[in-house]
Amino acid sequence: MSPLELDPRFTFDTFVVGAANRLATAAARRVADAPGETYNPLFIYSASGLGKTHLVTAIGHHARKVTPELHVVYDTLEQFMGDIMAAIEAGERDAFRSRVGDVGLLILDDVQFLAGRHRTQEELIRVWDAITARGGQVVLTSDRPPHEIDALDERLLSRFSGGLIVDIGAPDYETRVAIVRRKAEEGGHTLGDGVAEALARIAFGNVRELMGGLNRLLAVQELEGRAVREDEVAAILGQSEGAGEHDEFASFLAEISDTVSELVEATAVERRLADAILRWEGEGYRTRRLESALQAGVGNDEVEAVIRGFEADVERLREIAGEISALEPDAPELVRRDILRDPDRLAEAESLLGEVRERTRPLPPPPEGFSFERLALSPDLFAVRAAVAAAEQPGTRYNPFFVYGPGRAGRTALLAALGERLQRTAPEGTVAFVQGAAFAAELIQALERNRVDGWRARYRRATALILDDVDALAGTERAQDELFHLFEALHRTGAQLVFGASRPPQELDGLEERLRTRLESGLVVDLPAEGEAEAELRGVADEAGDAAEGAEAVAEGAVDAVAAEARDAAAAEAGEAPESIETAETAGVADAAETAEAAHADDGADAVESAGAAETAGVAETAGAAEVAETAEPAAVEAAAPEDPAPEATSSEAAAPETPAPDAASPEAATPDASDAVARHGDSPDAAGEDDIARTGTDPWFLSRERVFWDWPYVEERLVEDWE
Amino acid sequence: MSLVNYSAREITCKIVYYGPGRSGKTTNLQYVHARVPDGRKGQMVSLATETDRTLFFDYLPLDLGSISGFRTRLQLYTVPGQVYYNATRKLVLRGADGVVFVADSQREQMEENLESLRNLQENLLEEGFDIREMPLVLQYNKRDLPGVVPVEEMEDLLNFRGVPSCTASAVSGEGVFDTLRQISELVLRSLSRKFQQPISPPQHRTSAP
Repeated sequence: MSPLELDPRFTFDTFVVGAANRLATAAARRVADAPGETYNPLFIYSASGLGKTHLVTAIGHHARKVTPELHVVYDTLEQFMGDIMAAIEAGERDAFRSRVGDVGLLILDDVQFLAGRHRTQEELIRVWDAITARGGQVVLTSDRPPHEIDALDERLLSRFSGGLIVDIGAPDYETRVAIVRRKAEEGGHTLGDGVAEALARIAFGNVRELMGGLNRLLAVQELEGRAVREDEVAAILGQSEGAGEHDEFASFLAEISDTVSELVEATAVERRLADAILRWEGEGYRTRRLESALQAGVGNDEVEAVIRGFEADVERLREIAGEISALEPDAPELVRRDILRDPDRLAEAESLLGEVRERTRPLPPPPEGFSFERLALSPDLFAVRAAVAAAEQPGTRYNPFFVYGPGRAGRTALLAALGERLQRTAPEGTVAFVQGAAFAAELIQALERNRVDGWRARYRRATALILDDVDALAGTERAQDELFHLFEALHRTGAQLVFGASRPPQELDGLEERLRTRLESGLVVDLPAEGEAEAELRGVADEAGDAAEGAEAVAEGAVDAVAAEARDAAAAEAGEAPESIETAETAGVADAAETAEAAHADDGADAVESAGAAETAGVAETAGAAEVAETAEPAAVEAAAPEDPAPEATSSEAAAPETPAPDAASPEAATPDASDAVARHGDSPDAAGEDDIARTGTDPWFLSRERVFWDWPYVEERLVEDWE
Repeated sequence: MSLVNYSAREITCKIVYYGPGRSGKTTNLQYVHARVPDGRKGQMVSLATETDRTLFFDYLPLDLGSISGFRTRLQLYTVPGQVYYNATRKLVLRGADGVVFVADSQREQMEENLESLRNLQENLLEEGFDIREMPLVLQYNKRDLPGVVPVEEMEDLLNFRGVPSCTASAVSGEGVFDTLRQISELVLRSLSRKFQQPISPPQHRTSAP
């Protein structure tokens, strides 16, 4: 690439600014001050000889001065594209492109020659993208505006038009006088009084012709060794008294130009507004407010305030866009240019920012200092074990996981420990830990600030949500509604949901049914109040008898096919029996395990229950429970729906997710063939467990190791019922 | 029509050549059209009868290029002079920023000149503005013909408002550009005055012809 050298004579200092080129000059200065940051590209067009090349060369000089490391390339389109084509022919296209990629400022003169040259246009698009992708500035000149360049590729047209398009007009009389005087001075010449004015009065089509006229006058002065007089100018330049046909229009134009200049210069307010409109439009902002001010007409004293206000709003919009981009580089709000580029919609932009801030605000983390290892609660507690298990397979094992108990501190500690574990095992995830009251309060705050969408989106980022003290949501409307939808959304994404409350879901007053049923759709565990924890095992032993009664209730429930929970539990029992044997062993109750195994061999479903009871209360009850189950069998079979044939119902497959209706479960529990099912389950405990989880929310891990506590909430529920 | 559009940096002026039939309005435009370089003018649209009488109107757009950063355009129109085309005249007059009244300098045409001038005043009033508010230039045309009414007499007869006037011989082009310059400056200065008193833009300028 061999770009042209910048002509050292063409700088901003030597450029005479008049009404016809003031705008182009202002734009050029801005571009030179900060290439790539304002008008990109800057497209300058004018008839020839009006200073395009001077102006763009000045940009190059100034940019180099301001940013010495900037790689500036100035070339004519012809030369530049010739270089590209030569590189392609030499097989160095890629090398050329990589060289071009370093260009920080590309100035291409006379791009009108692109007309109809498709291959050249293709290459220019590539070069263009390579330069602008790295923030490079492009400056173009042409003798016509982009849309008048014939057969210009749409892509180039849109690129050319993407920045600022500005024209340079013929200089007015005063500017012409200034140009003549300056050029004469630069050459060290002196002009007689009125000569510059006389020369400027002649309607030259452009500055080059004007310079030609000046050169001729200077030549006469030099060659004839005398000063040219004012009255000689027209004659020397061959201008007859009665101007030619073309000149008649030209002099009309010259006179009108002066009047137009006066008009637009005189209306300073409009001019100021118009410049501001042009500037901000060039930077992609809506300028409706300024246009309205222009149309309505504002006074001199108001115009500055209007523009300052507008610019302050633009500045704020920039800050907003910057903050959004920093908070969330891919924020969908960033494409809302209709808002982010419209100072009249600043309030909406603030709102967008508010949403993004809300959405990206860190979720409340689990309280620090808690972990399962440091938990004051006994690790043997069922709730603790279940929590550990939940953390092992977040989102799949117990989801939702509901812990209730009167001791708030212990519950919170457990949930916090669970949160800590979830966060530790999946550091990339986001665990949200929030109290019910805080959840409701946040929602109200979001509503107040009209940030509900952001608030919602923020929580939906969570990979795990732990909401303690669900009690606080009792009686709320919107908070429950939001929690319901959040539950559904997170559940769909496989996020772990954990809830804490003082009481089990069905006892929480003022909870919507749809939410309540979801809260209890996973695993519900009880966490006894602190102090009661140590007594838990004993308590369980005491209650063992009642547990057997509970088993009875299961059977009854099955017969009556009434209580959904009972049926679920019974169904679970059918599948859970075999694993309970191992569970008992791992739980360190070998003796009970043996007993249980024996019992289990005889009875299907209820062996589970009996095994559970066996650990604490012995085998006697087991037998009793088994009896209950047996007596229940015939009725259970009757209760079975006709389309629910017994053989199918006995298998674990019957409890597959696609048959979640609890009705199907009741006969399973009490069916005489339950033992067959048990036997089969024994072969593939995991598969059986999976099915059961799908239906009941319980889990193979639980079944395989925790026979003793196999369905503690259920048992307890029955106990509570009995107490009441 | 938006006369000065600062957002688009455009100035567009509509100038209507008014006057009795055969006073030389179209000739004015034809002369201008012939003298303007190709890049500066649009096609001159003339809707004329077979006998070269203007039936509807002539239209000549002129692009004066960028002046002080403003793309400046003049739109020159003529109205049909014959009495019975008044509806067309009103239509063309709508939205005009300035009027050139082309008077025929022949004595036998004086009555028609007066009649046309009255008609102009009426039509302007119908459009809702006073002839005194409208930039107006009188052109005493056909000065090359023998026995024309002296300028002073025409001034007395027609220029009772004391507006700028000039003599012309449109066929040879004499006075044509002078007239155009005068009306253009008048129009531009009237704009300037309007902008000095920033009030809401004149209502009559909002509708296009």
